[in-house]
Amino acid sequence: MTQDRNPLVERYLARFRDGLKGARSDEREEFVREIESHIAEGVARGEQAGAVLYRLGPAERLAKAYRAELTLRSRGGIWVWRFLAVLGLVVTASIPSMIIVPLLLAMGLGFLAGGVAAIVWASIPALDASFYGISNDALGRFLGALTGLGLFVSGALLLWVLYLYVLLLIRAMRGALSVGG
Amino acid sequence: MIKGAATTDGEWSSQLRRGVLEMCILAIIERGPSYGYEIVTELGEAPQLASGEGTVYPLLRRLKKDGLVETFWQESAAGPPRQYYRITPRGGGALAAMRREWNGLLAAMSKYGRNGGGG
Repeated sequence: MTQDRNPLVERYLARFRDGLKGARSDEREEFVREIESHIAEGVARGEQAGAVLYRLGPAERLAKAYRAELTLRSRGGIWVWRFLAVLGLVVTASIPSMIIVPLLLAMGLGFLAGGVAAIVWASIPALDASFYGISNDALGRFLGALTGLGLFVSGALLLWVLYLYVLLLIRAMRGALSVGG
Repeated sequence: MIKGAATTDGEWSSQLRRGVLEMCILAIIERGPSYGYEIVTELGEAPQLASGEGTVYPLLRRLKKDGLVETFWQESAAGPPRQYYRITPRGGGALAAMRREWNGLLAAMSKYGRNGGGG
């Protein structure tokens, strides 16, 4: 279209087109065509191409201004996309979550309770505690308490892993909600 | 953005100008079909609007999306093909509403816009 095409203009239009990624291709081409027409109009009226480009501002900023307008206009589309993204995440995350969450919760709480029970049992002399076949013996009680501590720490670790997993899910959910925004 | 207006909040004046610019663009197009370069040149004659060329084109695009203007391409004898903007009935209605708002605002602001106003 433009007879005065020069490398400067070509590079500007290429950067402008690049900056419009995400726009519909037919819209993008129309925007580029209009800006190209604007530059050619200025040149046809005797302006330097560089001066016209300078007044238009950086190609990236121009594209950003267009994108801002497109975002304003396609908010409905973005919400549809966000809904689909969240739905997809829920479907893919819910199946492993149905196994992982109850398993970690049951094991964590079970180990915690078992550990506390073992420590209490080992530390009350009135109870006829027998650990590792050593009955009512200081070594047996010490080993019992140690086992209880081990179980308690394991339970706490499992609950910590569960906490991290839930945090990860929440972060992924937030990420999906902010898609396109 | 506004030269010499250090106390003016940039965001506020930017929003104000944006609304005003839409009205000015519609007013220009209302007179008859216009193309981007022509609109930009005319707006450039009012430096108070600070209508950068990079601002006007995206705004034109939004006015089109809102159905306030429509476009058509036309060959020109002297230069490249031009995309013309023509006001739609909806755009005419919007411009009339903007003018009513603007005049009402001007009347109200004649009290508050002055230094020491509001009393």
